Amino acid sequence: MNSPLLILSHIQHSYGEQTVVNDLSLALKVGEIGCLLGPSGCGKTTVLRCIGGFESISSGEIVLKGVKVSNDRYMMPPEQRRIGMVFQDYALFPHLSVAANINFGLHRLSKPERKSRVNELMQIVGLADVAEKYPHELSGGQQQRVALARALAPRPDLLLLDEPFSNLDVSLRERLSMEVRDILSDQNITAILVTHDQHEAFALADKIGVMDKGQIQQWDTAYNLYHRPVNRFVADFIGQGVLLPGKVLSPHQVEIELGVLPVKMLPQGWKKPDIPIEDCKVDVLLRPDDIVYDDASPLRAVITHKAFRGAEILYTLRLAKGGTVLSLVSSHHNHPIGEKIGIKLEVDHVVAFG
Amino acid sequence: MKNDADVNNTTEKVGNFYPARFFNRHPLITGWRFFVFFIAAVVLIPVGVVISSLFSPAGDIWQHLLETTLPGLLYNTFWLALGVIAGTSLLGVSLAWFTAVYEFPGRKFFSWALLLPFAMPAYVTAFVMLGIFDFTGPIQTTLRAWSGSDLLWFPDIRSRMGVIIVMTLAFYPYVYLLARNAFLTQGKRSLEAAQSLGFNRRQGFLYVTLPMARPWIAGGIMLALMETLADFGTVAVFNYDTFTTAIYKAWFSMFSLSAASQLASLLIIIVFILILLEQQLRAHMRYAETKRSQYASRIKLSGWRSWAVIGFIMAVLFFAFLLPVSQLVFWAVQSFSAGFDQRYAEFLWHSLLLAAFAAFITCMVAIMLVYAARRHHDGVTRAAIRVANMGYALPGTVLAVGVFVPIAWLDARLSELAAYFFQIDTGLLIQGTLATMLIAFMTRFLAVGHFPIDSAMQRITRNIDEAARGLGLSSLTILRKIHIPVLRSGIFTAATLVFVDVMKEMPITLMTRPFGWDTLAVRIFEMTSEGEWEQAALPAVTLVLAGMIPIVLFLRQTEK
Repeated sequence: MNSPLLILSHIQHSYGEQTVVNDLSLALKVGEIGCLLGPSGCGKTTVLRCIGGFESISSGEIVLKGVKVSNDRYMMPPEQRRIGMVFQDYALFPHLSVAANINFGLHRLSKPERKSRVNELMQIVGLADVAEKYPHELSGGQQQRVALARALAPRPDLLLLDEPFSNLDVSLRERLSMEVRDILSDQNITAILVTHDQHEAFALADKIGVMDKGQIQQWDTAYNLYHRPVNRFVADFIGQGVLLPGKVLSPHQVEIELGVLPVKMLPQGWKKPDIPIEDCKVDVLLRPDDIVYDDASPLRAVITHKAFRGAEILYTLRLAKGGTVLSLVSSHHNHPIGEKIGIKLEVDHVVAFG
Repeated sequence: MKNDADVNNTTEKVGNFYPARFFNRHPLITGWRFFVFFIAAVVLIPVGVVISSLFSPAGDIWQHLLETTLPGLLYNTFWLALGVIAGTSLLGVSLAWFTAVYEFPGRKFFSWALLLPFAMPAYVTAFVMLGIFDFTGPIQTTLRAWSGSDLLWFPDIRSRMGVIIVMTLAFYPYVYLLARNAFLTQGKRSLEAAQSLGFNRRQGFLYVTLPMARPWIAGGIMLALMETLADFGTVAVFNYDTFTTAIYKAWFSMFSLSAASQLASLLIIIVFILILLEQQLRAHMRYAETKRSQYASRIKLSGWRSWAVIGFIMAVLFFAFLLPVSQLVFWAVQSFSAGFDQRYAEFLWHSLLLAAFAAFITCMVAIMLVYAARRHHDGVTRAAIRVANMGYALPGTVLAVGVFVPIAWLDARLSELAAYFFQIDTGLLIQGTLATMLIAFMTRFLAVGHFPIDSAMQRITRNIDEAARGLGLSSLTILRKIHIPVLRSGIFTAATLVFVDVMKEMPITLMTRPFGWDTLAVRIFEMTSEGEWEQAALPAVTLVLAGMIPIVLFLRQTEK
């Protein structure tokens, strides 16, 4: 195991009175791609800019490659940090051609070295045929690639990507994010991505930090964020699902309307003092894939809403006692709204919140 | 008329459903197009007249000009232009950079205060500076009294350098405004991009921000340069001969219309070259357009750096605005009893009347052009509208000559006709009337009025009209409920800008006014040619106050 390339420990950033980033820590290993995911205004871009050296931090410290680059008193200028940045609006230099844009950060190399590096990068991002064009002559996707090539050219220790695909249309976004993922892992680039789009985060990142109110709520893999969210915010922000009220039967059993579920571990604080176990309440997270269509099941629910997704239909179902659940069902099972269908629970891992 | 435009707008797109209209939708000459062509012709005729004089036999005028004034004029103009380019770019770019990128105490205040010199007509700054720094002015007099000697070292303000400094102080806001806009929209972000690629801020400014802002900076310099070439009042006060003063002198002193038009034709050619350059730049500006960056956190200046920047800005503000204004107010108060009499009221009345008429006519024409463009969005109409807006580039002296010549010709023909058919002597019908002046003003300031109204109209998209129609509104209701409310502020801005520009305008007024019809600007010219600074102060203060109005408008608009 190699030591982390980037460490943020307890950093804080304030805009006047308002604390934008609050006691945030994370670590990233060489070659890892991290992502800060969150709604707009959660402070994710600010974190990225603090790492880049464009914003100062009021407490905590940032260590890059073993060097302290930011703390409450000191901020190493961005140009000395050996970071590359892909800006949300790309910030390409409009007065320079594609090749010149990519060449821009190579001022420390000799002329032939520069030339070969520029050519290499244009091959990597597939732009060799537009080398002499100017940014305004390129499509959005091409501009994006130029921005990436320009940032990669000086071989930065760390690449920062600020909502890199948000200006592209959806179909292009998916394709390009996979391409970028391949390029980054081919080149063994360590990178941090900031986005509000979870699909983008899932497609690109090894580790994702879901952010809210200036803090990372959970720093984990995409799988764990979906299946093992640590709090209601993460559960709500990632994927779809509902929370059903549940009754604690024992420290390892919770009863909800659909039956009794085995629980490995109940959330912290589930046991209120002075209240007997039987009266303790928790909310259980049910994802659409936890509810399975089953004609034979005695459990019946009324369809109140349906959304056709192609291969599947997402049904919103009302249970007998009024609770609502979602179910993702193969679109062969096409039922009208108002009909009752049979369902059963198929939960591998119960997530409950106190 | 406007309703008609609406009806046709909406039928443009759904034209197929109205076969009858569809077929006669684009006759070559419609009322609208005719109007656009007519206005374009009104602008083109003076240009044509002036340029054609280059090719008409002028006898020995050229020979005479070459032997006497021309080399000096070219020399003077060249150095003046060069000096103003250097001065305005230095002041404009540095001030723009400081206020756009750095944070220092008073930054917000300074960034709009630096526009204040826009309120000063250059010729006003010019005569005040002369009054202050000339041999008999308070500075030199005081210094002489103190030192008891003759101050031979004191630079002569009545010099090329003096004109250049005054014009730089008057015209730097053009460069400042455009460069600042460029820096604000792209400066910070591009600087960050450069930093992420290993450049420090100074290198980033040199290699990225400055080159990126080049089209804007050059555009600002171009505007300053056009003002310089068109300027009459400043060079007249300084007795610094350029084309404009030479045209004026040929016009009045020698009353040689053909010498005046020969000189005018040379000036217009120089101006056209500049316009061509400017349009090239504009094309570049379009592609370099970017959104204002989301994070425009400024670089904080502290300690001596902050004080140096503040000191520099204060010095510019002091010389370009505070000093001339205080001196003006001082003089105005001193001469108030003498200056504020029947005659001042008359000058003011003439200025206001003229400005109001010109603003009204110009706005009406601009509205018609805007509706014409809405109805006919073909290349020919667009080109004609662009031609109609070209008058703004014509120096006032050139325009006066260009308007006068055809009108004199028309007058002669009219009186011939009258003599032939009715055996009466009509004398001069149009020449020397307000009509000549108003035509010249409309030509010169149409672009000023057209731009705000046109931008207001851009906000009413075709879809809006169609949506309104889809909701069952009649064209009259659409006009009343949508067009008028949306256009109102644009028309108001247009009228104000033209009004103020006409009030400040000097050479056209001087050269085409009816005999004895003096305005504030004319009064300033007459008093300053005789060195009567105090007498010129009250009219000048009035013009400066009027000049503040567009700045206030501009600031209110940009704050929205």
